[in-house]
Amino acid sequence: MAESEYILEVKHLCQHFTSGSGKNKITVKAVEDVSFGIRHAETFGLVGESGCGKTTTGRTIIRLYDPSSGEVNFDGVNISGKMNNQLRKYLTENIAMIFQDPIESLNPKMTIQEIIGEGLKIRGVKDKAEIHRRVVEILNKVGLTDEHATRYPHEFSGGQRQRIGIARAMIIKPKMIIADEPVSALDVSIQAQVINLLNDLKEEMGLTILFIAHNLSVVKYFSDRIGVMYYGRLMEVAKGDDLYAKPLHPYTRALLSAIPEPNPITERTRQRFDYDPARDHDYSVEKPSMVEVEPDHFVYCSPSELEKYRKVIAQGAQ
Amino acid sequence: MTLILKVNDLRINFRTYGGLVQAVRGIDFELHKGETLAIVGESGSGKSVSIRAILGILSNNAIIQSGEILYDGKDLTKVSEDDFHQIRGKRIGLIFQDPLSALNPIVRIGKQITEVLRLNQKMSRKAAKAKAIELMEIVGIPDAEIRFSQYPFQFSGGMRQRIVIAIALAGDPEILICDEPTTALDVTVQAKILEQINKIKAERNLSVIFITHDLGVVANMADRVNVMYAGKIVETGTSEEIFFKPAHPYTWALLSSMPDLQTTQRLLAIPGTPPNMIYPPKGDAFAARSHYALKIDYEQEPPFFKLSDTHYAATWLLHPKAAKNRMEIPEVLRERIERMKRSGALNG
Amino acid sequence: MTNVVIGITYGAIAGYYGGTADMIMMRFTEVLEGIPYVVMTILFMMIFGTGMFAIILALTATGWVGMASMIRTQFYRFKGREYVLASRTLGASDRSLIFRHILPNAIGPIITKAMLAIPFAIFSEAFLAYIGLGIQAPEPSIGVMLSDGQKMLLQFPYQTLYPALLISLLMIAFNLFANGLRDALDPTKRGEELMDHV
Repeated sequence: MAESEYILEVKHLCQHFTSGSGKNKITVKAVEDVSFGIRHAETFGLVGESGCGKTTTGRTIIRLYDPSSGEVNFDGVNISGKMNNQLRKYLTENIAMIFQDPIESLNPKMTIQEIIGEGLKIRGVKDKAEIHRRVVEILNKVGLTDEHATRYPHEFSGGQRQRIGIARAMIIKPKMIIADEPVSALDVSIQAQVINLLNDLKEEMGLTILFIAHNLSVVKYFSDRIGVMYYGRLMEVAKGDDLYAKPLHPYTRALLSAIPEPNPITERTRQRFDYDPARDHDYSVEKPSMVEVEPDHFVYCSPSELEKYRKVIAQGAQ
Repeated sequence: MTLILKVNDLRINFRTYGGLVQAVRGIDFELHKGETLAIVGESGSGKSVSIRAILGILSNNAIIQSGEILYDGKDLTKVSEDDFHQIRGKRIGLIFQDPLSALNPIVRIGKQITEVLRLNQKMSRKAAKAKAIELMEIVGIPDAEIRFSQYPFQFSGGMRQRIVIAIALAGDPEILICDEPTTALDVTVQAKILEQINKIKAERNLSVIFITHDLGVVANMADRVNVMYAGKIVETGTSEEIFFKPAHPYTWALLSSMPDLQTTQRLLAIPGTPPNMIYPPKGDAFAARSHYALKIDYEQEPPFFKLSDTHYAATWLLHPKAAKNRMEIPEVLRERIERMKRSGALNG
Repeated sequence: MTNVVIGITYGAIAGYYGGTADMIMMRFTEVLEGIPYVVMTILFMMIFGTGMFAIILALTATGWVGMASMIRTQFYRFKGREYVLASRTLGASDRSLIFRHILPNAIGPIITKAMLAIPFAIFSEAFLAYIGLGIQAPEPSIGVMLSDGQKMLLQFPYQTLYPALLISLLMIAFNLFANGLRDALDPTKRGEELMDHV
């Protein structure tokens, strides 16, 4: 089997939620035919607006949901198949998740020590002193102190709770972290603290990160490559700088144009693009697919759109 | 420009179990006709509380300790609830952050708009319906005739917010107050809503107070900006002044802590957390988290120092005596300002 | 107490695993819910004769349904909470999730309901005795006292008054106790929390 350059490979992942039965059956295609790869120690940002399926994608990869179809490989191992104890062990040892809501993601009835230590206990670490030592170690790493260990979540601020969530994920030394909107619920000044912390940890521990967020500025700052999702599908995948300098898919362009920039001179005169799939595409004859337009830059398009995009890139290079 | 609203030394406290929370600790500002004033700050800054005071919708445990809000010859801090009915909705409209809770889920949206029209302007049913549809079209709701009889749940978040704007406009107000109206919306929807608000403001020569924590939105919407921290205004100026010549360390911190699409360096995070407003710190409230704090910042509250007729900042760094100790604005920020000016020159 | 235990287990299984298991289990309980406990009591008494045993059996048979239903609702409420998901991603076992995460948070209303089951049982028993089913004199029962007292209402009102008062007090006492217990077990009630939304 050829060795992949990617540590995480997602192939044609689909997540369909069904409700009702018979005549009333509704199927929501939350994630439809999503394929991408993340390289070792790379940060991949998954961005999109509400309902685009990015959170569902993250949760399906870590098996909080079972995929409807498709394949996910981590480090060569298939993690999307039938769940058994062995797979669960492999999964939970290698991939950890950080959640969005600082209030909801911590069990209000448990102390910080218990919350962070849970990962160790599940791994079989029984020695209480050892657990305590490692909890304190990771607390210090995320900028908290020993005495915080005996307190309860409600005694902490939003930013601190997110740090606790990060500590909980990091203590088991995973190879990859899926961060699901880790800063969206925080105040602006606190966001920077947490982003800096994640950056430091990333460098120190050589982590691979799947970063899910809706703020493109933050995602671009933090990620190496970015995938843009729209209603369950990936529209464009590229390196951060390429995505910003050469956005090809009309949705990416609409997204970029909508982001307000803290510059009063340019903001007033800015041209904003709109995205309307019915108007901007004609897929009645040609069917679209994910194509590599230039090295490491993929776009979901039909063959004639591909022609158009290739020309744009060529012109830009001149 | 004509002055239409003036706030003088407003102080508001809240009675809570933990003690008296000093939410607003003495703010002064003005609103002129036809301008958009943005109030920027994070949670705990007092921005939402101050505008609730303008509309008389503070919660029961709030006490307006002192100060005045002068509008149309009256002091809104002393106006009775009955009199407020004349003002709220009619002269001053309000748009909240969450459109879902602002709309009655079991009443058709057409009725929610016409209700306001008929209450305020004594219109007939037919006239009110026509006007409501006109308003819906102004705020950009497609197929207004059909959607007139629909319920809130049949609309998306962005559409609902447009309905809320339509309802606010139905009262034909002079002042429109928007409290983070687009924070909960997707960025593409936000762009459209902001565009709509700007358009309507221009058409009707409205005066707008816009509260947000997003500096990009401020750049888009505001003529003037008030930056608030811990219950006080720390800096005020025109949009250009605040973005290109910020003077208060907190403004610097806000501008440098959020990445824009071209940031590559390490973000300048503001250490610590906002202060406890039951025991607000002495002196400059931001001193404890600022790299630039001088000794006096911890002891005495700085007064406003004038930088221009429109630009004031409350920081001891601007005192003539501080000149030799004064540190410059962060490198990161200076570079960004240079960059912005250059791109502004290219496009302008 | 038996109905509490059975109810908890049944509801927990239905609520946690959801899906088809849930549907089948709930259909079963819905059928049972329809049967009023008085009827059940009569049935049981016909089989087991009068006395405490029959009453206990009847109350148990119908009582656990309410508890199960409530637990199930609680489980659904808490199953999707982010901290539960977080523990799942760490690899926590189902058992651990139920007992360490969901139950401690869901327990509040459950305790109250469980505690209230006691005075309810007392009340039901009194009621049954009062209407002539259940325990007869000379075995002690508040219901019997009320029933007898009723006959003497005009002359000796206190005979009804005191038992009635007693029942009320018992129920209030248990209610307060239940609330107290729930609060004592809740760490979030300790310490101050200042939530400013200014």
